[in-house]
Amino acid sequence: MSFDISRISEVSIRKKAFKRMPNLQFLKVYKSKDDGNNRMHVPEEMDFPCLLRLLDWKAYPSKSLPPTFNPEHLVELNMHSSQLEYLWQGTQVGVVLDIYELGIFSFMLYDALSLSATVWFSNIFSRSRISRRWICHSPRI
Amino acid sequence: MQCYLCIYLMETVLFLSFSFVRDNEAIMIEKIARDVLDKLNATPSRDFDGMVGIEAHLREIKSLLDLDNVEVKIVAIAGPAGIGKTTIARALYGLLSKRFQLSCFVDNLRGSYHSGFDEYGFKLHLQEQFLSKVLNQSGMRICHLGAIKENLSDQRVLIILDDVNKLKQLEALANETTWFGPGSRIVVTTENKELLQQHGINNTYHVGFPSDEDALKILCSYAFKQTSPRHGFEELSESVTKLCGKLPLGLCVVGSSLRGKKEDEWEDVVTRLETILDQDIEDVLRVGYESLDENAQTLFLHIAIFFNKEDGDLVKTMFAESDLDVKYGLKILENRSLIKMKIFSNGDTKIVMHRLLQQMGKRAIQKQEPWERQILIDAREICHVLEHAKVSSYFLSSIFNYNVN
Repeated sequence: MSFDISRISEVSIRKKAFKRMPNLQFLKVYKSKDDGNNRMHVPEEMDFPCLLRLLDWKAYPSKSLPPTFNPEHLVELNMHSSQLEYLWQGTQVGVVLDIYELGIFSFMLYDALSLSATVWFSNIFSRSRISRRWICHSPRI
Repeated sequence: MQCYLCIYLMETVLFLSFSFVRDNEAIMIEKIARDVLDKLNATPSRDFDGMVGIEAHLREIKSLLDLDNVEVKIVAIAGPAGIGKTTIARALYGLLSKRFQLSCFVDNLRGSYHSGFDEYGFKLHLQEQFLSKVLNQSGMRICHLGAIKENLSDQRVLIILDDVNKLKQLEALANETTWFGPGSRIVVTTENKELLQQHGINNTYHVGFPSDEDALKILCSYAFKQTSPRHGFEELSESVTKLCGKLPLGLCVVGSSLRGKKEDEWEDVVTRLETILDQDIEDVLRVGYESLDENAQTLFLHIAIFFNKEDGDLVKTMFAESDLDVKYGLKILENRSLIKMKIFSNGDTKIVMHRLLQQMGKRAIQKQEPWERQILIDAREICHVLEHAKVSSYFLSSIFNYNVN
C-alpha cells in the first residue's frame, strides 16, 4: 500500500483497519506535494499488520508506535519528520540507527533501550551491510 | 599511451625550461597538468561507450563550461524527461571530476521534499546531506546556511545537481557563485527552464531530440547491439523508430524489449505502437513492461512504487520470504533497460528507475482489475479501506484476508 496523503484533507484510521490486511507487507505513507496540513488521525492502539517488512511513514503523527507493534519481519523502518518520541514503550527515539543515503552508519543512543529493542538491534548488526535500515528522525527543533 | 605521455611530458619540461613565459608559469603548469589529466581521461568511462551522440553533447557542454576560466560558472543542461540529461551529466562527471579538488554528483534532489520542515529547515537539511557527500563525512550537522561557503569557498569543485525541480533546491545548494572556490563549475540538469531564469542561469545547453538517423542508431544499439539494423530488419527498425517518437528513453526501452526477437514479434510491436495516440511516451514505455513475465512485472511494479533508488541488498531482503525471484528479476529488468543498477566502489548497489517508467508503473496498476491488484495506490480507495476497516468484495487482492469471519 502506497498512500499519498497530499490529495486528501482528513482521514481517521480505524483501530482495526489493518486487521483486515494480514498480508500487507509494504506500507508507505507520504506527501507528494506540500499542500499545507493534512489531518491524519492514528489511534494509539492501532494494530499494524504483523508481516510488515517496510514501514515508510513520513510525518507519522503519534508520539509512539502502538505497544502491540511487532517488528519481527521489519526490514526497513523510515519515519522521517515524525512526531515520534518513543519507538514503542521503553525505547526512546534518538535511538536512531541511521544508515542514511550514503550507506554509512551514524548511530546515536540517547537512552537505555528496552530489552527487546537491544535484541533487535544486535539482530540487525549481525546481518550483512544494509540488509536492514532504520531512519526515524524527528523534525529539527 | 604511456609512451605518448612521456614524450608529452618531456616536451613540456623542455618548453618550461626555456622560460618563454615565466610570468605565466603557474597558469601554464596548471594548464599542462590539466591537459595531461585530459589525456589520461581522454574517453568517457566505459558505461557511455557507444551511446549515440554523446561526444557531440559533451563537446558543446565543455565549450559552455569554459574550463580555463577562473571564474565560478553555473551551467544548465535542459530538456524534457527521457531525453538523456542525466546520462550526459554522468558522462560529463566521469570525464571531468578528476580535474577538480572536490567533486560530487547529487542525484536525489527531486524526492528531497520532507513534510515537517519549514523552508529554512529544508535548506539546512539539504546542505547537510550535500556537504556530507562532498566532504565524505557522514552525518554532518550544520547550524546555519553559510556552511557551504565556509567549507567550499577555497576549493575548486565540480558539482552536478541532477534533476532539479524546485527553486529552493538551487537556493539551498548553489545560491551564490561566491560559495565556491575559483574555477569551480556547477552543472544543473532540469526539465524546467523557467527555474533557470529565476535563478539567473544564462549558460544553458538544450538537449535536442536526436535526428532521424541517430534515433534509428539508438534503437538498433539496444535491439541489435550495433548501430545499424540487422539484415532483414531494416524496414521494421525504421517503422518502430518512427512510432516510438524520438525520445531516447522510449527507443532504448522498446529496443531492449525487442532484443533477440523474431520478425513476427517485431510486427506485433509495430501493431501495438500504431494504436498509441500522439506517441504518448508512457504508452510507448508500456510496451517494455508488457513484454515481461509475471515475476518481472511484479518486481517492476514494486520498485516503481516502493523501492526506486533503494539499495539492491535491501530489496533482496524485502522479498527474502516470498516466491519472487529477485536476483533473476533484477537482471531481466536491467537487460530490458527498465532499471539501472548503480554499483558503488564499496560494492553497494542502487536500483534506479526513470521517473517516466515509474509513472508508467503507476498507470499499469490503475489499469489492473481491482481483484488483481497487489499494490494499492489510489488515495480514495485507501481512505475508504482505512476509515471503514471494511473490505468490500471489490478488493479481493492478495493483501486482504477475505476469509475473515
